[in-house]
Amino acid sequence: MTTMHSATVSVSGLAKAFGQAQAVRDVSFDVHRGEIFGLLGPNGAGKTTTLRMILDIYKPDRGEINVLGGPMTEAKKARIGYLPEERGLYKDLRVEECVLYLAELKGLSRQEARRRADAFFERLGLAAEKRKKVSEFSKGMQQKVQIITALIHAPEVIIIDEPFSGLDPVNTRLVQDLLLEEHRKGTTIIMSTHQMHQVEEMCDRIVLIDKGASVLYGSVDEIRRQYADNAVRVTAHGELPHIPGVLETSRKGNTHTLSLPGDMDTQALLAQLATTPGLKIEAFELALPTMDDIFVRVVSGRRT
Amino acid sequence: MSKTWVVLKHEFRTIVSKPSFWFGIIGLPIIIGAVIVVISLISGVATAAVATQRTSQSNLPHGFVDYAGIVRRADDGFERFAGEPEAERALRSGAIEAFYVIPADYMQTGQVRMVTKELDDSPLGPRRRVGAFQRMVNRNLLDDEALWTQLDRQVNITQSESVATVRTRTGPSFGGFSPLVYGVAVLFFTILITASAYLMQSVTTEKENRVIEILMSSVSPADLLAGKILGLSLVGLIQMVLWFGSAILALTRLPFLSEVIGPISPAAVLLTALFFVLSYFVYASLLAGLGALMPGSREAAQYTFLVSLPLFVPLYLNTAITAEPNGPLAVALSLIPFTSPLVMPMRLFGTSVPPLEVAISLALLAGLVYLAIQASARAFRAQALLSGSKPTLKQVIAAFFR
Repeated sequence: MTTMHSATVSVSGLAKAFGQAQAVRDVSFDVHRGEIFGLLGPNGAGKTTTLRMILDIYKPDRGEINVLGGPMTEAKKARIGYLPEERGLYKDLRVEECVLYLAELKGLSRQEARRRADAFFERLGLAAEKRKKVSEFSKGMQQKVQIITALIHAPEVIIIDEPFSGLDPVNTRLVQDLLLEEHRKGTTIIMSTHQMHQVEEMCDRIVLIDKGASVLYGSVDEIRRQYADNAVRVTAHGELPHIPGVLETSRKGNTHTLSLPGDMDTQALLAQLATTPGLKIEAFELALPTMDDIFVRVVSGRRT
Repeated sequence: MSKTWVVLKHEFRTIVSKPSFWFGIIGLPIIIGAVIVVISLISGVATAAVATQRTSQSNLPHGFVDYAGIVRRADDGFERFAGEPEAERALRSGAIEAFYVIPADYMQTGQVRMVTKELDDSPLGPRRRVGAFQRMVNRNLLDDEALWTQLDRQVNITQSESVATVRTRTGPSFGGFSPLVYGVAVLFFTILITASAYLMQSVTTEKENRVIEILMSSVSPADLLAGKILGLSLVGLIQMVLWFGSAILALTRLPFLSEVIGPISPAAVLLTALFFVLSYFVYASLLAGLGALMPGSREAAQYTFLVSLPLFVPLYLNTAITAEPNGPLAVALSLIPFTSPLVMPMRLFGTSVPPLEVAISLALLAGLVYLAIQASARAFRAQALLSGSKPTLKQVIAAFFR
């Protein structure tokens, strides 16, 4: 895990203890500029503590953190948007006032904060209700406001802890769309999540933390290939012929998964299937494991 | 500094935009005024007949018989009588409202007898001019340097007599009592506790609303704490200016009150404001630290009493302090930094305090400000702010003093 020059966030040998509890013991990773980076791990693995150290909320006992080209400073906090897992708003404040205050703390002038807030309110359908108190908002509406507070200052890095926790499908899609839009603009996004299908959909690279140490690190595609068994998935209309050498075949609808011996040539197999009379192949792919499978395999493997 | 300024503005704006704040700040003086009026009405002062009589009486001079030979020059509103029989005749005829007898051994005892037509202890009765009489005596004493040591002796009326009846009452001394002194203490206490409580509430609300972690990602704990303390000190100052301002206004517009209370020294007002600011920093810092350590306002409230306990001591000992504002107890309490914020203003409004004592008191209080902010900063850390569990008393103490 070497530090790359293009790293927007670089974490090396991080450790942090609270009293007798060692929350983080050895975490290292780089987050490249403009990527969506997943911070994965079971509950209590040390993900939130790691994020808090990156944000300079906690000081590490050991290790090095570089953010946006150097150690974290007060000025750099204005270039980062953060949405913690335990997020809330001032219940007794008006929504607009709440957003303006948090935006001012990120360095925006009140006028600029108001201009940007109005644009967000308009876009997310909150314009008519911005003068209501936060406590009058539904949970979904409050989540929209929280997203606004993380994005309003156009941060270069967004750190978001469990972004989809507790969201209904509509708001999940909304948050996902907003994050992907930021990604398209070139914003670097670090997200900690349990939802592996979101990782597969959104993340370029991940680090898996378990018991305070990074145990899996790399691009999502590479990791899935790395953990793939020697198998292919074939979606086809018609009956598959008997293929000598195939170890096991399973079927779900029109999709067949074929386990192959290590020395079997997949190109030859494809050629054989393509020439089988009455068989119409729609898809032929390596049977990659899901991130969910990999997560369980790695974490369970470490437990045993 | 800019983030401190943003926090300061936010805290100030949040409090002053609440109707409940303005109700408290404006409503309380109105309620107190109403209570005074009601008490006056109950004591019969304000009944129509008595009011008429009182109005005519209030313009009457007071007499005095000076066996001690102290008063060489009588103030306006006071008439000298050669002996008690002459004074009593004047009282019975309605030429004077009351008279005082300064005994020959006044310099030793400090006791003065007051004689009125009827026993009347209400603040609007003849006793309202005791303060003016005392000042006349002191002013005459001032003419002699040798009598400087007597300056702080209070007129100590231990016995009241009525010529209409033979009833005589002896009781505890009220010679040193001043409604102004007590009022200053109560106002000061209320403002200090209110402003400090606002700060603690501000911290615990952010923890309860779970907005604290978002704040931590934008502003350092030190900047957050500084912004809160400064913003809410402004709120306290506004409250103080409004309350003390309306009190001073009432004194200037209601002459009978000013007679009861006596003159107010501008220096005392300024020094009181200084004591307020310093003591606010002490209590607000400690309560903010406490708020940081507690998971919510309910848990924090359980410890608030412990922190504010020293402020109750002067209120509890008010009688002893006002009776002897330059006595050992009052002097000691006005130097101890935890109690000085209340006791020193009480003394400043009640008597003349040696400048050295004021300076020592301020220096000690400033020292405590430094220590309190240091202790609070130790408690006001991210780990405590983000913790959701209630600490033990031992952990609270350790957080402040580690």
